[in-house]
Amino acid sequence: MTGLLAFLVPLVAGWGLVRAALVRHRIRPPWAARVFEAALGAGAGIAISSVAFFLLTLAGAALLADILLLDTALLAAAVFAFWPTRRRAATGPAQSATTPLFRWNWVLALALAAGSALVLYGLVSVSAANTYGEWDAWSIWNLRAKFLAASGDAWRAALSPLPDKAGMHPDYPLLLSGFVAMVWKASGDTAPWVPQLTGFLFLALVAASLTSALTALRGLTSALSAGLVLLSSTSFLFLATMQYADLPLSFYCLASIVLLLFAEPALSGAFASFAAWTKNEGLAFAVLLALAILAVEWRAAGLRSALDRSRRFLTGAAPVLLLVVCFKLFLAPASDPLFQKGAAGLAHKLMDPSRYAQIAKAMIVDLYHFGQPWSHPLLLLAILALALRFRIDATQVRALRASSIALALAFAAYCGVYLVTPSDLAWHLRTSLPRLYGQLWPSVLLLVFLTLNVPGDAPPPKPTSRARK
Amino acid sequence: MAGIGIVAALAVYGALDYAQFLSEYSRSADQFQIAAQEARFHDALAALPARGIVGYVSDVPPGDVQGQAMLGAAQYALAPRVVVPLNNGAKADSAIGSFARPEEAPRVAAEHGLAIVSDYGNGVVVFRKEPRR
Repeated sequence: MTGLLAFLVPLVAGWGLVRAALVRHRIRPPWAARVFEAALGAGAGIAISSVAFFLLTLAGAALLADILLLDTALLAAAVFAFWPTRRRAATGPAQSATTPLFRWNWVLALALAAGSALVLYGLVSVSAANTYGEWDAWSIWNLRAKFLAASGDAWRAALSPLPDKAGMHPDYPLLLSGFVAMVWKASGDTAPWVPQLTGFLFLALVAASLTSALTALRGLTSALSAGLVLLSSTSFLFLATMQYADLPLSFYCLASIVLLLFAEPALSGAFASFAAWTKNEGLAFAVLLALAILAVEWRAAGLRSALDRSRRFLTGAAPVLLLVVCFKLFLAPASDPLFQKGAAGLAHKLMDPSRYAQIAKAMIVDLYHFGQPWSHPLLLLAILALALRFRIDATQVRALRASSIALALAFAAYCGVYLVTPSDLAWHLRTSLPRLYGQLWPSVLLLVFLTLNVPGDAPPPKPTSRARK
Repeated sequence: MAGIGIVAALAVYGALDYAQFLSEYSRSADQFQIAAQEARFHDALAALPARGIVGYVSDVPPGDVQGQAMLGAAQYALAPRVVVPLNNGAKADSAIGSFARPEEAPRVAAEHGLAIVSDYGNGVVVFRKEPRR
């Protein structure tokens, strides 16, 4: 019971905090606003509680009573933030797509619901059969959660510098392991339902935030179409059963970009910092997004505007980013052999053309396996692009440009890591590339659907003067 | 709007196809039998210290995939104890053995100067370091 409470309270508290933060926005339709706030809020709640639990652990004060106190404080903060805003009228720009109603939306919704039910049943079957998740779940993420959830100073093993624990990657950030450990510590056991449910929760959060944001920005038909393409991204969907941090990372990257589109740079920065607390790739994403915002704003609106927007982004990111930097510098220095190789070895690899060819081939093969052949997400996107053509909302150009640059640079950084990896390249590509695609995929989908034209019937004819009489 | 209709139809077809794949895959999803390891090591927990470093020995070399999986499964089942292979020079008063062929346990014990404390009959053996003579 206490475990369930420790799982649910951060989600509810996060919802209250995010709702209060977004109160000035007129997100339409109202159901999309509620789904959007709930999805982002749940993700924020998980991140904040994970950070708070880790700080309690560092302070030696992560007992059950402390966790319940933390939950109470989170709820109180949410009520304190939300209560004064509950009747405040939204004053910000409207976030509602003014698109004609597409009369076949009900068919799309039915297809999405039926397809989602089928796939969800299959994913739950896999998770039930593979309770402890895939390799990295029990050798990295949940193992570290077990250490963090243990009594006394056993948590230190989660950051253990022992050479035999290099495979545990003690320098990886702790958002997922911290949240799971907090619930385990509250429940008094290490039941596998916690990481299992967390995986499926993040899949739901990705789907909910993608579709609700697109409903507000581009209309329901775009949102349903994006949902159908996401449903076809089978390699991405499978992440829910693996219990890895790639799915949470994909959510925080998506949320950060969505909030940039909603002109909320501080909140966008906060979610980018949550991505940094999730995985090393998230730290790269946060830095690249900050740089992309600065560059795009500078070019479009001048240095003053760029500095102002960057300042707001960094203000939101600073608290958790500071924790990540301290974690990296003082608590769990990088143990990855990638960071311990000399420049000569790296240069040799960078000059080797066969590595480029091997990486390119693996990228094509894994992209092909990202979905089923006849319903491949790229095929579906190509059909939609042919049918709808392209249109970009002028008000979203800068945010789109900054997000696209950040994602492209993040992907380039992934490629760079493959080029110089000290591990066997074939093994490294085989075990990580599909997950790297998954990390960026929801954000890519969002950006693609924001550049596609909006489907819809022709608007109804204006009534004639005779009809008015 | 035929394009959107085609996308919807393909997506549902793909979902059906993928659900069938997942149904088949679920029959062999836990390929390293991690769920079974919790039960396999359960009885050994009481014979080991509650925390700290525990040595690890096995008849399967830790370099191959099966050896890594056996070590990883032992580590997960025994956490928060830190399980470290003894052949890497780790110092520990107690050790856990995970054997594919349980009859190898005495030989491995002799190699590492260990005495058998409990043999649970399922390939799991608890050892203690033999005092130096």
